[in-house]
This record gives sequence, structure tokens and C-alpha cells, in this order.
Amino acid sequence: MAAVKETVEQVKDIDVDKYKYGFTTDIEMVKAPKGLNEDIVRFISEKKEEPAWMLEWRLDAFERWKTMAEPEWANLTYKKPDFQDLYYYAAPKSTEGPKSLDEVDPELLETYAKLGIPLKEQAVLAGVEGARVAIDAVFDSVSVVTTFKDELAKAGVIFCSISEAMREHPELIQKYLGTVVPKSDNFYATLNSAVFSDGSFVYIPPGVRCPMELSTYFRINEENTGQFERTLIIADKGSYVSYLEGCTAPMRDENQLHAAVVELIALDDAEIKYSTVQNWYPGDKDGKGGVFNFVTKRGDCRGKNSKISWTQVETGSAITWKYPSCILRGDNSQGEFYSIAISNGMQQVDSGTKMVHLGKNTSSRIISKGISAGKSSNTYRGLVSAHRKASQARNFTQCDSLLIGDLCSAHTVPYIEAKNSSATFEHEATTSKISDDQMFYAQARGLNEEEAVALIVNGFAREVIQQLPMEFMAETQKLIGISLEGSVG
Amino acid sequence: MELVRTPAESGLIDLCQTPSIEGPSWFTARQDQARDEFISLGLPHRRVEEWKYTDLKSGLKSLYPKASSQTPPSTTALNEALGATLATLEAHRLVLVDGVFNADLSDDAIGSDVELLPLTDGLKDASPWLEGLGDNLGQDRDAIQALNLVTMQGGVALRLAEKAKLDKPVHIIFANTNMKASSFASRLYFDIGAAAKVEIIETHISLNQDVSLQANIVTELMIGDWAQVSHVKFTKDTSDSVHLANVSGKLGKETDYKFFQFTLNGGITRNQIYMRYEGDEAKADISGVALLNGMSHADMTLVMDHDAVGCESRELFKTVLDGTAQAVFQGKVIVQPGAQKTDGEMMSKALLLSEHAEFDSKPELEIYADDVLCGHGATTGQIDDELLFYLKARGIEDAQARALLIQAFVGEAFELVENEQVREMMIDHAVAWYNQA
Repeated sequence: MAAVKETVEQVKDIDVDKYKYGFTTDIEMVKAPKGLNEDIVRFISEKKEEPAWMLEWRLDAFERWKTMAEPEWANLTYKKPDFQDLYYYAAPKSTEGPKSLDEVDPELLETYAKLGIPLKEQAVLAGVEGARVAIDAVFDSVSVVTTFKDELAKAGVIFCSISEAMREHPELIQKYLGTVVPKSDNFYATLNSAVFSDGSFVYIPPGVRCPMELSTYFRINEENTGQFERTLIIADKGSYVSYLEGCTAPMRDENQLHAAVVELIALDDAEIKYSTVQNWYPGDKDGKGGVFNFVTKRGDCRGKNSKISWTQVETGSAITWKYPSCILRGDNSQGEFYSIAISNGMQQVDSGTKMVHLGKNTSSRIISKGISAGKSSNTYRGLVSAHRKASQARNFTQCDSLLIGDLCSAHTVPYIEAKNSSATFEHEATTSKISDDQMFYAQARGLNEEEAVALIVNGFAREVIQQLPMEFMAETQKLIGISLEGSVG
Repeated sequence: MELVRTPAESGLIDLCQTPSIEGPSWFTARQDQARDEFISLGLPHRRVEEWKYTDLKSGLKSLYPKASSQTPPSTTALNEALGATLATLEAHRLVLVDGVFNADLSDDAIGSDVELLPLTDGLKDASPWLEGLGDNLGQDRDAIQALNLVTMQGGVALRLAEKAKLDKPVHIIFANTNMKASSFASRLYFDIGAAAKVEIIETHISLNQDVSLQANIVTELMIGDWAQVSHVKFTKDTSDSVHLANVSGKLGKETDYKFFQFTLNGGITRNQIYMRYEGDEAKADISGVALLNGMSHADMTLVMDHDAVGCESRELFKTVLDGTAQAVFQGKVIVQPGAQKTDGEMMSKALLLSEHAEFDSKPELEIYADDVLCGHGATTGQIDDELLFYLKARGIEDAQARALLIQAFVGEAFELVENEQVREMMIDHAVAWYNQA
């Protein structure tokens, strides 16, 4: 019963204040003026010392964005952000100019240490001996530091902020940026294309298995600031990379905006594993404040036998609008999506995936576990589609929803389109509540109500938790307990 | 964004200007509202979420002239068109010729506790029990329902008294007598008293082989507490036909409603079903089989709206596609706040026989109560090579082995048809279809 003991201990550890990452860091910032116009786009591009073609690209995106309307099809109700009342660029003053780890503002290092992300190169995470993770830390609009760069460079791996990549490796950026998520893909992606300020860039050369986990940690600190980061990961032929993403934000009464774009490209025989633990501030119990998370994530299995796997644990944000997708273009390519989405309080989640089968013998697997509690609303929205030429496409989808309390809601909206007769698609969805039998059983063994719920939910989401890298697994189990606090009784 | 009106759409708007049926003020008011709705909505197209996969703006190329029945058919001709099984079916016959009730071809007396009103007469008399007609259970109408309310040429309303039990099923025959392609809009209205029991068999036939039709049929069912209703529908249209049907029902306490739809080929077929559970512990089984070849396009869209405690919904659909046929399944189970102990299970399975067939499905759950058990499944696949090999290894010809496997695939659904004669008739049609596939 080790697992039980572990869960119980984790639940016991929970702080009284539910969101423990809600502190703010007092640090001197450089900001662009509030509002959005062409000058702001130019300002950002100039700050980043970008080549001219990049500015053109941004301006074109901005022009297109002006003609677009915010999407309204998602099962979400919120006051639309005022895009003129935001700061589009905010950077800690001390980060200007290139930095090595030793030169980083101690205030920043302390912030990350407080978040449980030690920006040290011999870091040992979650008690796992010998586990090393290279981290790119993004603070508001800029990447403040990237660790283990030298060691990665020895293996030929490029891991740096996207601004740096734009200066150092323009040919790779020009070749791949916007090829998975075109600059005018959707409202938020287009906005991101115009104003993205930083993010991570990864290139794994042919035949290389990345020697360590790569990770980005996003932190929104400033008030009224939108975070628009862009991540681009390219796994060249026969390479492998596992990438982790974490995020938190301070507790603020206004809604903060986060509109990111993540593009993954897997060439022949390459594999990318992308894991996210999203823990943005979800707002208070009355729905005041919290992050609006409008994210476009898409992976392109461009080469044959390539594989992209998304794993996400969504516990934070007031609004989540996120559909990590796979374009299965290469023959025999594989796409996977494992998701746990937990909503409590007044949170609203509309998340899912798209598996677009284009190549021959492609397969995809979707496991989605939605847990709603409090007065929250949790929607799974997904698309599985096989195009005319995608012979022998194979998909298995399982979407389970668990409801805790009678004021929350759970929705499942899958679109399944088979345009090829050799496609085999299976889709299964269930909705249920924690049964009284399970609760009785757990409580009869001495767990209190909340511990019992955390244990059962961890069991419900186990299939997904097991997909997470070890560093994230323990954290996730604990997070599930925290997210559901106050949901019973 | 203003969309360009298609010729068919403009033709339908013209038709809306002069309703065929007059009625009391509440009815005219609903018609006026529906006319405005249709004019503002236009024909549904792919940008309308519920019609994403069935675009009538592009599908309905031209409008066929309104059907007119100058010479009603003889009973002999009607029986011939029905085919042996249906012609000899033990049932009370109600015949609608080109959408309008025909008393001569229909049975006079259904039972002492049954009231029958051809819709034109009923509306003139303004029978109070018809007042739910066209109200759409208080829900928003979609463009096609609105269109039906304004352009309907006739129909029939049936009222069963409390505890009424019929000795035989009611067979509703939509007979088309036109020599050329034509269109009609018609409506069925059922007011079923508490604890009454009825079996409805609905068939659509054409007296002249291969005449195309554009039909818009709305069926409304007000089902009283403890009533039991079984409803089976069979359509077999030509490839140039458009069949748009809406069935909406209000389920009282502990009611039991069963609906089965068999679609054989056809042009564009859309069956839209809306069931609202208003009484506790009501049950509904919605199922069907669609066998489609050529360019057929069949769409089954259903919404099971649970608004009472302890209700049950079961859906099972089997679709087989050949040629470049396309089938759509959209099923939504809604559990309203407070509709605890809801038990819902939905399953849609498709078998694709040819390379260019297409199946699109969207099974949805929308749940606002926690103590529920809801699930859905959807599969798309092809004939299992191993099963085929097994049969062939036992000396069965390839074509026959395939037909057997298709039969086994859809058989599960056909078993839900309770009326043995009707089931046999459907299976005969199905077998003929498999053998051609």
C-alpha cells in the first residue's frame, strides 16, 4: 500500500493557502508602453535585435490579426480581454545583455528556487538521484537563463531562448518557424505571431538522443502583462527529446493573458515527448482573477516513422483553451495525447486534441481524463480525422469524466471523421461520479473524505500520470490533491 | 456576414409567403414567427454547427415543384407499391397522399378511445389538444422545422385517450403519386394519454418507381405518464431525393418510447430527433440502421435532453457505407442540473466497404449533474479480414461471406424492431442490399 501512504502524506503536506505560487517578485522591469499597435510590434522586434524578415513576418501577422475576430465556439464564458489595456513586453531590467548563470539577478534565482525550480546545474529534482534537467526559465516576456547549455552543445543539441536562436541560428528559424502553426492560424496564434517576446528553441541533430530532459518554466509576474511565448522544437532524423513545461503566476485580481504557440517538428524516425504541468493561478473561489490561457500547440510528424506524444496536466488557469494536436503526415507516424484536466472553483476548461491522419499506416491514441469539481465546467473537444489517402489509419480514444459535486459540469465533444475505408477508429467516453462504495472502502481504512477523494482521483488519472517523466509524476499527484481541496463536504 | 441566397432558398422563401394551411390565431402567430426565422436563417449550411456535415445550401440544388394529388391512387395500386409484407400488415392504415391525409384510403375506425384529425380540419376547429403543435417543446426551431410550419400542406393528428390500447399498430403511409419530381411538407402530431399504448409504423413509398421527392416531415409526440409508444420508420428514396425529418417528443413520467429508423440509400436524408425527458424515470430507446451506396448522404442527429430524475436513454446505430456514400451521426446527451441518476448509453458503429465512403460522427455529452452514468462509443472500421478468411476457409464464396458479415454487423440493431412482420420486411430489403454490395 505504498501508493496509498504516499498520497496520504502528500495530501497532508498541502498548505492552507491553496495556491502556493501566488507570491510576486519585486524586481525592476523594463516595459513597453501599454496597448497594441504597429510601434509595439516594431519595439519588440528591435529589443530582440531581430533580422528584417522577422519584423516583416510580425507586421504581416499583426495586419491579419486586426481583421480577425475572437473565436466563440468554445464552451467558455468570460469577459474578453481588452487588448489595448495590456503590456506586451515586460522584462527584468537586469537581463539586458547576454548572461551566464552566475550573472543572473539573485532575486530571479530566488524566485525560481521558491517555485521549486532550482536554476543550478547539478539540480536534483523531486529526490530523484542523478536526474538532471536543463531548464530555460522565462520570466514575463524574456528568457532569463538557460542551464546546461555547454553540455548540450557537446552533443550538438541547441537549446536556447528563441530570441537567441533568431540571432545565432536564423537559417533554422526561417526554415521552420510558422510551418506547423501558420502565422494566421487562429486569433490567438496570430496575435502571438505579431508580439511573441520569447520562448524556447530546441534543435536535436540527426541520430542524437538528447542526453537530458529539457524544460521550460514560465512565470508571469508583472501586472496587466500578457505573456506570449513561442516554442519551436525540431527533432531531426532519428533523434529523440523529452521536453517538460511548467508554469505559474502570482495571485492577482485582474485576469492575466497567456497566449502561447508551440510548434513541434519530428523528421524521419524522430520522437518528441512533450509534457506540460500547467498550474497558472486559477482565480479565487468566486472566480476573481486568474490566468486566461489561450494556447495553440501543434506537432507535425513530418517524417516517416516519427512520433509525437503530448502529455498534459491542466490544473490551473481561470480559462483554458488549448488543443495540443498532431499532424500525422509521415507514413507510419504516431501521435499520442494524454491529458488530465482538473477544474475546481469557477474554472472553465475547454481542451482536447486533434489527430489529423494524412500519411499511410498512421496511428494515434487519446486518453483524456477530465475531473470537475466546485462550480467549474470541463469540456473535452477533440478531432480525429483520416484523409482520403490515409490508408490504415488507426485511432483509439478514451475520454472519461469524473464529477465531484452537483454544481459542476462535464462535456465531451468529439468529432470523428473517416474519409478512408481502411481507417479503424474507436471512441469511448464515460461520465460518472466517485461511487459511494469506493468512498466507503477508502474511509473504512482510515482516510478522511478529502484523502479518499485524492486517492480515487489519482487512480482514475493513473493511465495519464504514468506517461509523465518521473520528475513530474510526484508533483502531479500532489497537485491533484491540492486542486481538489475543498471540493467535498 | 450576408450569405448569397441560392435559387432553392429563394424559392422556399417565396413558398413561405402563402401558407397552405389556415388556423386559429395562435397557429398563425407561430407561422409568422417561423417565417421570419426561416428568412433570417436561410437553408442550413456547414457553418451552422448542427449542420456541419450536411450542407443543404449546396446540397439542395433546385427546388422541386409542390406535389399535387389530382387523382388519388386505387387501393390496389397502393398495395402493389407497398409490397407484399406491408400490404398485408395487420394494422390501422392512415394514408397521406403527397403529404395530405386521404380519408378514402385510410381506415375509418381506429378505436373508440382514439380521435383522428386530418390536420387541416383540426386546425380549423382549433381543438385545444393541438395547442402544442409547432411549439417545438419551447425550444428554438431550426430552419427546417420553421420551414415545415409555414409550408406544411397537411398531415394528421391522433389523440389517444387515457389507458387507450389499440388492437393493431397504426400504419402511416406517405404515398407519392406524382409522375415527376416533386416536393411536399407534412406533419404528424400525437397526443398520447396517460398509460396508453400504441405502435406506429411509418413508411414512405412512391407509386411511380424512381420518382424523386423533396420531403419535409415533422413529427411531434406528447407522451403522457406511463404511456408506451413504439415508432418504426422506413425510407427508401431515389438518389435525387431529399428527405428531411424531425421527430420531437416530450416524455412524461415512466414513459417508454422506442424509435427505430431504417434508411436504405436515398439522396440526402436527415433525421433529426429531439427527446425531452420531463417526467421521472422515463425511458427512450433510439436506434437505427442505414445502408447506403452510390452518392447517398444520410445524417442522423439526435439530442436526448434529460430534465428529470432517474431517466434512461439508449441509442444504437449501425451504418454500412458503399460507393461514395457519406453518413453522419451526431448524438448529444444532455443531463440538466438536477437530473440525477440519469443512465445514458450511446453507440454508433460504421462499416466502410469502399475506399471513398465517408463516416463522420460526433457523439457529445453535456452533463450538469454528478450522480449520473453516461457513456458513448463510436467506431469506424471495415470487414475483418480474419473473419472473412474463416468463412472462406469453410467454403463460403467471398461475396456471400461478406454479405454474412454485414448481416451480422447490422443484425444487432434490427433485433430491436419488435414487430416481427416489419422486421422481416426490413431484413429482406437489407439482404438484397448486401448481395449487391
